[in-house]
Amino acid sequence: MTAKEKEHYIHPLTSAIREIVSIFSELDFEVASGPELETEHYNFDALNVAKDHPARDMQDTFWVDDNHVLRTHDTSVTARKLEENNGEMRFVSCGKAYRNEATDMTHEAQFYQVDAFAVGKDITLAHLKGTLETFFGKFLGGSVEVRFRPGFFPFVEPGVEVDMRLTGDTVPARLKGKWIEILGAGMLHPNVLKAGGIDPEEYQGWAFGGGIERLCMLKWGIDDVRLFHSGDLRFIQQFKSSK
Amino acid sequence: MKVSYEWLETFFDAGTLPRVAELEQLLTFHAFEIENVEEVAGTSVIDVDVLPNRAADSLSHRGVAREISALLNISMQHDPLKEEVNLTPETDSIAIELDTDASCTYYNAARITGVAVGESPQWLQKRLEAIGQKSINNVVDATNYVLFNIGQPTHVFDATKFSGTTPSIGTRHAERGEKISLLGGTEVELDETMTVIIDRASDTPLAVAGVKGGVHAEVVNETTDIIIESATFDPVQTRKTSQALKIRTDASARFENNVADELAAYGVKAVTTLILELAGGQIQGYASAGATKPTNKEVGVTASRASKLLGADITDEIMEDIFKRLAFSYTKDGDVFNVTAPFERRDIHIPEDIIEEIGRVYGYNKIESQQLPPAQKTPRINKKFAYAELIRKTLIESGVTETFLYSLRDTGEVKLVNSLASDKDHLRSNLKDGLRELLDTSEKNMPLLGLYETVSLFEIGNVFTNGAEEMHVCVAVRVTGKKKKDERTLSALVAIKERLEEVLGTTLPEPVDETLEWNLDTVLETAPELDAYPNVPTVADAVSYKPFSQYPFMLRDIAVWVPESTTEESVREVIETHASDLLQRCDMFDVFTKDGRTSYAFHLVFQSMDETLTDEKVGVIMSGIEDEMSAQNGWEIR
Repeated sequence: MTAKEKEHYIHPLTSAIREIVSIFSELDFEVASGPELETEHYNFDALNVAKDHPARDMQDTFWVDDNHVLRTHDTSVTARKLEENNGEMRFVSCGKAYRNEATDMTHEAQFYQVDAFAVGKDITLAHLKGTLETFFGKFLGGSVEVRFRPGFFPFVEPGVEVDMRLTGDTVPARLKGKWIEILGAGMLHPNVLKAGGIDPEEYQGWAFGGGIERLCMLKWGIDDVRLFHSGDLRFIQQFKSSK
Repeated sequence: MKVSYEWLETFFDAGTLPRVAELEQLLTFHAFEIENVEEVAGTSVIDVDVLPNRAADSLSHRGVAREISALLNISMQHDPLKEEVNLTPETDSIAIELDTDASCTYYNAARITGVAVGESPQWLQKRLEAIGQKSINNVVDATNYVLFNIGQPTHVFDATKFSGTTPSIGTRHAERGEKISLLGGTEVELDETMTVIIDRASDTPLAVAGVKGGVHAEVVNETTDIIIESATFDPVQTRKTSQALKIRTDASARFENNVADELAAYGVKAVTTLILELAGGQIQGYASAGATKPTNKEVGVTASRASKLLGADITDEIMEDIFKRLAFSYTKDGDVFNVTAPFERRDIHIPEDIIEEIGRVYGYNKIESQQLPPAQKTPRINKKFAYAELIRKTLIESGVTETFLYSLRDTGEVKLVNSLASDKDHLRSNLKDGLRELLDTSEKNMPLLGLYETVSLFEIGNVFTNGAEEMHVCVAVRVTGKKKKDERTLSALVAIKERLEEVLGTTLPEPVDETLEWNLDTVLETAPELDAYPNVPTVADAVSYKPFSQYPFMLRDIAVWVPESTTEESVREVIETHASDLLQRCDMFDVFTKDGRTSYAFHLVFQSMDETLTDEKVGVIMSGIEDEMSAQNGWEIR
């Protein structure tokens, strides 16, 4: 074995997922997972995506038969967990999702998403802001500011776009002080809670979802999203393990 | 949607609209994303990315002005939707009959005779030019102006091109294979899912409903007698028609977003008024068919509910102020506000919709962040994730590199109905096929990676068989070059397998052809629960990615005798100092001492970021290194 053959590498997606899980575990979130080949119900109906919503069109979604799709978001895990549980709950999931679109440096037909949600009697949009500040601060390092802008996703109401800005000595120059659009979020739509058998009069909660590759690209300065799923060792073997 | 600043100003008293930079900030944080702002035709043009739920009311200058009015709490002095519209005089010089089954539910028309088609006035040309629209003539420009002003698409027909003395407009499903020539010259083939506007007397299609007009009754320079159409089309059918024909127009974009039915009457009135002003003529009157659907319902909401959802202190006063700004009408019953949104808003149905309005107008920036309280129950350990992590830890510590490959492949048991490409139309049914291909490509890059004997890879991921989705683990190893390749590969795999069996406490299948693959779900059925996630490494803090060259590399070997006391580092230094920055790697692969001399052998890997290297170019570098080595006292190139 050469010296190089003895070195250990961590795929950036694995590292990111591990870090995300670790941060959210400390905040009492349970790790969740679900199938990639999903029913139309969990991918769309249970998430308040209307029957005639353009996202259901063949041009955006891979269909396997009349009622099965490759999930277009990891949010279908949220739909499943809401249904399996009652009352207060917190889940985080990191899983593969698919979009039927041409690939380029910033778009992939297959990608990983992190989805997290918290439900309780008094879980508010203010808690979402606080949680995201903690998450980005730990994941990317430095001091974090988070801001919300109006956004639209069928599964949340109100819906927000989340931007963040990092400051501090440890932040790479390419990120320092810049506002970066990072993910979508909001308060779970009453229809989504209802579909999960939860009374929206009694419980409420927030949810967010975003691309893990995008988080990795920010964290490590990666310029092409296609590298993540290429298996190219010239890419993977740049990420030495921490021990 | 491109919005002209100068056009926006027309809705407000002179001087009351803030500067464009302020508007940009305001809209960004309270309404819509701004794509960019540029100067066109003497005014600032803001490219506003209207959210899908607001497309019905905000894909127009009036819509954006309404938003600005609410956000800044400045009143609109000129709101074209403020007064109820009155379509008089009525006329029987147009007959309309709607097919109740087709996508058009409400149709307004007006007839004007004696118009003079000609150039539009400068002000109109400039406004259209600013938002990227070409001026055509005063009649067509009038329809475009109204479209971008209030968001209602309209269309104008030449009345003399209808059969019969009284133009008779109808709608019906198109016939499969029916063709129509559209404005601009393209001919499209229709099918029965689409609706056409027809000249009822001759059953001739005049337009594809909601999408685009045809050439049959096109307005030309000689036209003097016109019919203005302003109708409502089913959003879903419009979208599907537009997609099927691959024609997305400013009209279809609005209809598919469910513009309010009520807007149709405002549209016909506005276009008629403008054409009379720009092209003259005599109004014969208006005619309508069909009916508007019910308008917005009352929604009950309280300030305490808004506060509880947003996590901010929202008072009754804040609620009332925002309702007034948004022109939402309301009554108060105890602490409940019963709120009705204006007709053009199609997105207000439940209390949360109103709370969203409160949140964004109040300002999400005023919501103070809070930490979640500790949860009432301790989260359980996700067994599948925990074991996958345990396997990762074991494999990474064994020097195996993790990969993520595509789930979409050219073969598999499950086929997609729709795919991106024929080599990606199946879901993978195993991991080993992908990993074997990756062994092939990785082998080619081994010297560049500093690997000279072994490539070992693994993937943990889902595979799809008929009726099942399973999580598999696959390890793939290739030992290259030397003899007994199979035996060495197998022994490497067996060693990994035994290590994994020990960690997992189970028996794994035998490796086959460079790979070891098994179903993790099955293994987990009998595996004990873990009480914590394994403590596994992450990427080291100092790492940051550097792009790698897309050009081929060149491998050269060099061996040199040196005095026994000479270190590897000093030989390496001579190489690296004289190898130019094209040297990517310098790996020692052999060293031995004999008769007071030491032999060092190195693999040198050359690669350029900008070009394919030639033998000549690398040859010159190698000669330079050899010359330098030969010049050293007691060194001899082997």
